[in-house]
Amino acid sequence: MNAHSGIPAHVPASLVYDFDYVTAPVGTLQPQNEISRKLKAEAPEIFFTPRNGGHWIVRRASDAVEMFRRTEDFSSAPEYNDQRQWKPTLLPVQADPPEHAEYRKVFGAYFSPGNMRRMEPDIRQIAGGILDRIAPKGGCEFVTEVGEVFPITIFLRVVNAPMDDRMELLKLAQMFTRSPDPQGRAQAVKGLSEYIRRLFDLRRENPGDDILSQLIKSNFEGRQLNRDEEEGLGTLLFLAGLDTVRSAISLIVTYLARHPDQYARLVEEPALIQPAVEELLRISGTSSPERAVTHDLDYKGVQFRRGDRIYFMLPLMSFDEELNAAPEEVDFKRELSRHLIFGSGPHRCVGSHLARIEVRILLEEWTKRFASFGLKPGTDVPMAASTVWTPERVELVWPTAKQKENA
Amino acid sequence: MTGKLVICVDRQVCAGHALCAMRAPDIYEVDDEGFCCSDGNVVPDGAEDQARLGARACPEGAITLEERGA
Repeated sequence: MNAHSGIPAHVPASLVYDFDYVTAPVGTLQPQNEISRKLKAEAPEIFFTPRNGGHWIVRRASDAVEMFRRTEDFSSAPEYNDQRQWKPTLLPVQADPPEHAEYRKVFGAYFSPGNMRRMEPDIRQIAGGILDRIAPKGGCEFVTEVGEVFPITIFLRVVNAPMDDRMELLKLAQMFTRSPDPQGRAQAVKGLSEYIRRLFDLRRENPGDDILSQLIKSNFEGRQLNRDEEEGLGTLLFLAGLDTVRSAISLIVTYLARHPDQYARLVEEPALIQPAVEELLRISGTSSPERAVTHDLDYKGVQFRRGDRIYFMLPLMSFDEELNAAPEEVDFKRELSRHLIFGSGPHRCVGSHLARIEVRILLEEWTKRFASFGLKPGTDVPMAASTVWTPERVELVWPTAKQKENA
Repeated sequence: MTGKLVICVDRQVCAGHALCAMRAPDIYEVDDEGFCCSDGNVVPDGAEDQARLGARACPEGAITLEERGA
C-alpha cells in the first residue's frame, strides 16, 4: 500500500513530494483543511508522489477545471491507466467523449434536479425512519447506524432491490474504497457487478420503472446496451453514491457535534439549513478523481508523459483562496460557498443533485429530533486510511425525553 | 443604466451543476437534465446583483452577462 515507486526519469526532483493521499487523513481532525494547509506550505502546485504506484497531484481549482475539460489530454479511459483496468469498465466514469455523453444520457435524465426533487418525500421517510429508531437510545455510532444505512437504503429504493441486500452490498463497496491495491478494488468491482447482473436479469423478466429497467430500455447510439455496459453502468451506480454520501454526512455531523453554536443556529432557523448544507459540503469533500495522460505534453511548465496518472485533490480545493475568501471560516451566510467536491466538466458528479437533497433532508430531520447533541465524552473521531476520505466511527450522545423528564 | 443586461450561457461549457438556479432561482432556469436554459434572457431591472451572483456560482464560468445598448 505504501510501496514506494521509483521516480520516472521525466519528473524533476523539484516536483517530487512524498504524499500518500490514502493515509494522509489518519491522525487529523479535519483532513481537508489541515492537509490543504500543509500542502500549500510545503508542496508545489502540481507535484509527483512515489506513493500508490506513483502519480501526480493537482491541488488548485483552476487547474482541475481546465484539465477536466481537456478530456483528449487527460483521459478517464482504462486504456491509458494500468491501475484501473478492472472488469467491467465502470460507466460513464471510465469513458471519454464522445461515447461518454451517450452513456451519461441514461443517468442524466434520471438524476436531474427536477426528478430528484420528486424523490424528496421518499427520502424524508427513509431519514425519519432511521432517526426515529435511534432517537430513544440517547446515542449512536453514526457511521454504521446512519451514515451507511441512509444512502444505501435510498439506492436500494432507486433500483427497487430488496433491503436484505444491504449488508452484502456495504461489504463490497467498502472493499472497493478501502482496498490499498488494484487487485482488491478489482475483486470488489467483480463482486458488485455479479450482484448487478442478477438484478438486471430479474428486471429483464419483470420490468418496472426503476433505473435498471430504464437502462435496459435505453438507446445507445441506436442500439441496446450490451451486458458489459449494463454491468459497468449499474456497478458505478452502486459505488458512486454509497461511501461518498456516508462519508460526507458523517463528517458534517461530526463538525456540528464539535460546534454546538453552529448547530444551534440550524435548530433555531431551519431556513438556514439549505445554505448551510453547501458550506458544510464545501469543507467535507471526500473524493479525489483520477485521470491519465494520453500523450506527452507540457502543462504550465510541467512535463507529463503518456500514461502518467494524475489525482485531483478536490477536497482541498475548497480552501483555494481563488474560490473563497477566508476559506477556513465556516460561514453559513457566505454569499457563495464555492467548491469542486462534485468535480467539474463532462464527468461532474451526476448524483450531485441527489446528494445535496440527501444531506439537506438528513439535517432537517436531525434538527427536528435533536435540540442538541455532541460527541460521546472520551471518544475521538479517527479518520480512516481510504481512497474516499471517511471517519472510522462517530460516537454521539444526546439528551432523551426520559432524561429531560428526570432532570 | 439604460442598456439591458443579457444572460449568455456557453452550453458547451455548462456541465449541469445547476448552481446558477440554486443561487438565483428567480433568474436562472435549468432544463430536464440540469443544464442552464437561460441563454439570451434579459435580466429584469433591479435583479442585476442576483444575476451576477448566479453567474459567479457557476464553477465552469459558463455564464457571462453582456450589456446590450438601450
